[in-house]
Amino acid sequence: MTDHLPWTRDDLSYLLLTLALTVFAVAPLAYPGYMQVHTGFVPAYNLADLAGRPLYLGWKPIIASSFDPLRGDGLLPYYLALPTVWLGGTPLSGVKAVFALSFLLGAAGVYLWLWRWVGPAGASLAALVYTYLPYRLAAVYVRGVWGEAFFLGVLPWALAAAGGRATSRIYIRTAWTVLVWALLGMSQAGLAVWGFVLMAAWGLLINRRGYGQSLAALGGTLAGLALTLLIASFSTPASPINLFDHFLYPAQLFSAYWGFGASRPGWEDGLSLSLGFAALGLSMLTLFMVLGQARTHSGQFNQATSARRLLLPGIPGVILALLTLAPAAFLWRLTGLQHTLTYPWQLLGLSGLCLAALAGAALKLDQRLAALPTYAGLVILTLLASYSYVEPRFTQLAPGNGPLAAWDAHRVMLIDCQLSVTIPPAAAGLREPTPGRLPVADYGRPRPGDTLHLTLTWQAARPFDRDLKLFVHLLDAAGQLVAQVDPLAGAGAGSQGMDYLTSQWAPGELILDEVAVAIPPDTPPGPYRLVFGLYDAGTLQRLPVVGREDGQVEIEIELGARDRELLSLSPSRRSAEGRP
Amino acid sequence: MTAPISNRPGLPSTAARVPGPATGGQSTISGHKSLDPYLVVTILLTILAIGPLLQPGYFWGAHDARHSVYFLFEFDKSIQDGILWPRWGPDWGFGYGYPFWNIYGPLTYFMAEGVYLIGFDHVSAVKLVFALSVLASAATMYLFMRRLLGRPAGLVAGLVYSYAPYRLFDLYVRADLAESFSFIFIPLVLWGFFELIDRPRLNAVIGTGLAYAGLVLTSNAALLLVTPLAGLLVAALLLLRMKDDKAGAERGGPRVVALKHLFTLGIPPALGLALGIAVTAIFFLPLLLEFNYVRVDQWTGGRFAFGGDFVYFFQLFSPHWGFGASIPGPDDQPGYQLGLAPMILFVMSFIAVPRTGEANVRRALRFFQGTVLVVTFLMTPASEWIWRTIPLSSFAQFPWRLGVLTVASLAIVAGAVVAGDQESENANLAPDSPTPDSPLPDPLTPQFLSLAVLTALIILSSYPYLRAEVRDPKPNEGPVSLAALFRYQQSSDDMTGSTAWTRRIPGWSVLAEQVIQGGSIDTKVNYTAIPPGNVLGIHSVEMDTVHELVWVYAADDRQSVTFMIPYYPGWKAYVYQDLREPADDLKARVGPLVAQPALRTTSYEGWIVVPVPSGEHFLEVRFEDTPARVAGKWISLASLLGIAAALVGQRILRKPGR
Repeated sequence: MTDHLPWTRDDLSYLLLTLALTVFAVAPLAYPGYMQVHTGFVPAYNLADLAGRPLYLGWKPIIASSFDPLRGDGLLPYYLALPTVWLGGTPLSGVKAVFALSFLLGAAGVYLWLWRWVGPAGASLAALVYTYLPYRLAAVYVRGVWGEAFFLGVLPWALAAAGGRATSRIYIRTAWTVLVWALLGMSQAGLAVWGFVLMAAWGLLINRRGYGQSLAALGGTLAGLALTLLIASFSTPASPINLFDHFLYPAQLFSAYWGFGASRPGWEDGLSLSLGFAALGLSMLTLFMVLGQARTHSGQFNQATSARRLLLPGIPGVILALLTLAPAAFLWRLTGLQHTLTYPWQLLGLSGLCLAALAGAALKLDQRLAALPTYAGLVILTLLASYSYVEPRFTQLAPGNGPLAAWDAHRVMLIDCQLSVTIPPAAAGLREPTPGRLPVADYGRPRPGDTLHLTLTWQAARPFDRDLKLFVHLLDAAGQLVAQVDPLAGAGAGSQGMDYLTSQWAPGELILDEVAVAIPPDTPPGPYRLVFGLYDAGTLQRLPVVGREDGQVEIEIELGARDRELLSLSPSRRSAEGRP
Repeated sequence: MTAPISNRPGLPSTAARVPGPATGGQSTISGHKSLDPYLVVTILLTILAIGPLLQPGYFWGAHDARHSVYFLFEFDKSIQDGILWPRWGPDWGFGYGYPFWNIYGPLTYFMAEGVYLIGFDHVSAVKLVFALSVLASAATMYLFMRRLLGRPAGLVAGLVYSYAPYRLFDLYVRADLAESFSFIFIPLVLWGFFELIDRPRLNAVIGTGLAYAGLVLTSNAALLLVTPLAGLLVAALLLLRMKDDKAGAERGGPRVVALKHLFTLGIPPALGLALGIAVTAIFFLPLLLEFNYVRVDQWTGGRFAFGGDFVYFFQLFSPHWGFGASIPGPDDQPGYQLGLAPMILFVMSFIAVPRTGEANVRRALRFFQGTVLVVTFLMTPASEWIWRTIPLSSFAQFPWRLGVLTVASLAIVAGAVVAGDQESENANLAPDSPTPDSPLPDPLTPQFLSLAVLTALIILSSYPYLRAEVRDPKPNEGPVSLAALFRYQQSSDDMTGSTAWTRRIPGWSVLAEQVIQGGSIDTKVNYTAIPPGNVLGIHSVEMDTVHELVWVYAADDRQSVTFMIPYYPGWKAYVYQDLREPADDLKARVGPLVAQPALRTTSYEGWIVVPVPSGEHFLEVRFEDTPARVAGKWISLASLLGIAAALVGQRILRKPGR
């Protein structure tokens, strides 16, 4: 695309420098594990499913999710991640590779889009502002929406393709434009519609020559959308979230808040929905500089006009930001665009891109800002503003190929389940210090009088508005209740043993819930079932378990006879018998 | 293509821009008649880094915070006994003792002792030395970089060096006094060796020798890390210089013979190194020859075992910060980041360095860029196979200790980013400036403003990490006393080193118990080893940190006295005649030397066992200088006298009229 352009060594140096400086955003993906993000392990589960049947063209991500071809993450990230799995990587590494690619593509895309317009240093700064937008970091490290993250990575390329120079070969440019916009459509179709609007605005305000490219882009967008809809059989489920409940309050656009919670109706969202200090601050710097230059060159029409043109990216940026606020609701209703997105604040990524372009323009306005020490200061400022956000909540839990169970249409999933037994006091004669509990596999058959410990690792896909209860029943072979406990789910699961109930659970967060069930002393040996599930304490209705009609999950367990002999068993004899 | 700045039309040459030898020898402090305002600003801006040290109290929970204080406590005990170069720590290992200062650089504790003797308490003395290490290291890095790239570069490098997260980790999380102090000498050593290649002269040899001596006497770990780095720098610069000379010869310049040329060029750095070693022979020689007589398995086993403490790639860039311990795996509590500002400046240095005019400086900067990349790689798990093949890997304990090298290298290359602005600095000087090299900056120039913003951002990027967990000491930490030292040793297994003769490392001792119960250690004689039957009688006359005198009665020649002191070369025993008069003053009864018995040791503890002749005598055990220590002392003294003579001679020869 750029082979005909006069690249200098400096231009290439700044591009490489820009890519190198994305390292702070990309590095957390190198953690040997994964992050606790809102989408949880669901993308990895579905990727594992796709890897198992890559030739099935009608494949859709349905494990622990309801595929929404318009508002949800598209299919492209899955197919991009597939080679990583084929090459021996885990599905999680495939997901992380796509996230990393999205950052690198985004930075390179902004640079290529803007370098001729604002110069290499300005384009580099814009690319870094865009990379470290709090919204983009949250998309990866808080929300884990890889379709949207990849969309935001490709979007600058799409704008660059659509705004290519008129001298480049038209058929290559058109093919390139169609391809890139099709990729956008397959990444996040709903946002691609908005991306097209942005590109049209850009063309109208700045490029003014790219009508043909706009048509190509529209074609590409529609092609991507059609492909996605074709695979999805045109079935778009109703969104469980009301977009109109999630408009932002102006303060949120400027807030330094950072969190890992979900978006909630009202102003108390659990995550950052800010435009970012760097994007806002540097955009304002550009604005002040333009105003200053306009005053200085008031008699020189061309220079003042040229400076003002640099402000133009700010117009769509501001409009898009305003559309995330409640007063814009009527515009959403009027245009029907509320069907394209889940949340109105998803426009912040596009708005941020415009502000990044505006931020980079500052270096065009005053070349002294592009001098290396000053440029270094601006870059440090940009990264410093977001540095504290690149620390996700990590986990080293290996999720397997799917959840062990899922409740309420995958609203909450059971990721891991461990059964252990408290070592009875009779075993206190052991020579070596022992843990308080042993896994059943190591302990052998639990005996009457023992206490079973069920350790459940939950992950919620969406927040709850009420506290659910957990039931754990020990049933005999005839289905008769032998023992039961009904604690609140998450009781004692918080820090320092505090309760952390379902209404507090953030999407994607891993909650370690422990329940103890005492086996009555007179329980006869034999096969038993430990069944558990969730229910609403108000209605006493069990939450449905995906794939089961009885609303419960079972673990088969074999109880042994009460071993009175154990009380007098010497350590040496136990050791000789191979018992713990 | 970006041309070097010096070759660009309209700009002054690098030689004119960059203060240094070419501009009249302004590369040393003494070269300046007036105080360098950039140096003052560098030091003033570094004061923020020592902010947590200015709080009352102490960070008792930091990794090495307690032993830093107790090292001084022990060091002072020896000094108070009149030992000017302490080698034996009397209360290590629950009171049995350990030759700590024979194998551990004592310079930091000489500094702390000086502060303590002025009237500060142990904790304040340690805090003051920590503070000094920060301020002085900023100054030395400034001076080095001023020599290479000019004042703004010196300022930036000095601040990056002081505020790099690893430095703050060393200060407030690890509280590693010796390593923090070693940062003063690292720029000086690198500067010295650079100078000995670039412009060798007598002063440079002496400066390099003294800087290297400072490093040797400060931190063994830093010495092990910096020496290869300096060696590689010298080798790289030498080889490139030879290549230049060869190319010059091909263009008709003077012909050079490769090996002879290499030898000639290599003499100054070799002299600098030799001088450094000679000055420190008092420490270095015994360290080299007697190191094998201590047990090092305690340093390399257990929680110090090498292998699990690599820095994961993401950790190098993570903002995470904490005060806990390093643990195997990626979830360490402390942060191991390279630093936001240092890393950004490092990346930008790849644009800045090719614009640097002077070839040797550019080469040195490229060397340090490479060092950052290689050393950072060596900190990550991907390099484990390399560590496994390096025999010294077990002494590294934690690969993140290579942060010493990354910090220095990052600071050096960071300075390059502002070096290009030097010409602007001079160009924007007020018209009535006395000379183009005037160090007085005009605060209204854009260059100065950008430098001010950059320095502020360097500090700001580390500002969240400028905190220490100051708290009152727990009973097993302080207040500083012998009892608290023993409780600390027991609770932490720190300062429990043993000599090679010890087979069973103690976990507690009767001596420590005695102190804990409110008593004191008045003798180290093992009275439980006295056989029954009135065949042996012992009475301690006097004891200090390195000697004990006892009166002893032995019924026959088969008796021996056991001292609860693990044997180490230097311990000797002397038997004196008992004059028996005057009866009321035992010490006055000590007569002439009768015998100098050979020492034995107990099987497990390695304690000193001295056979005594029959009858009543006085027996003294004393920790003395071995031949290596004596030779070391004389070599050091001769070296220092040689340096003084050279400096005086040079001064005399430079006098006008000579």
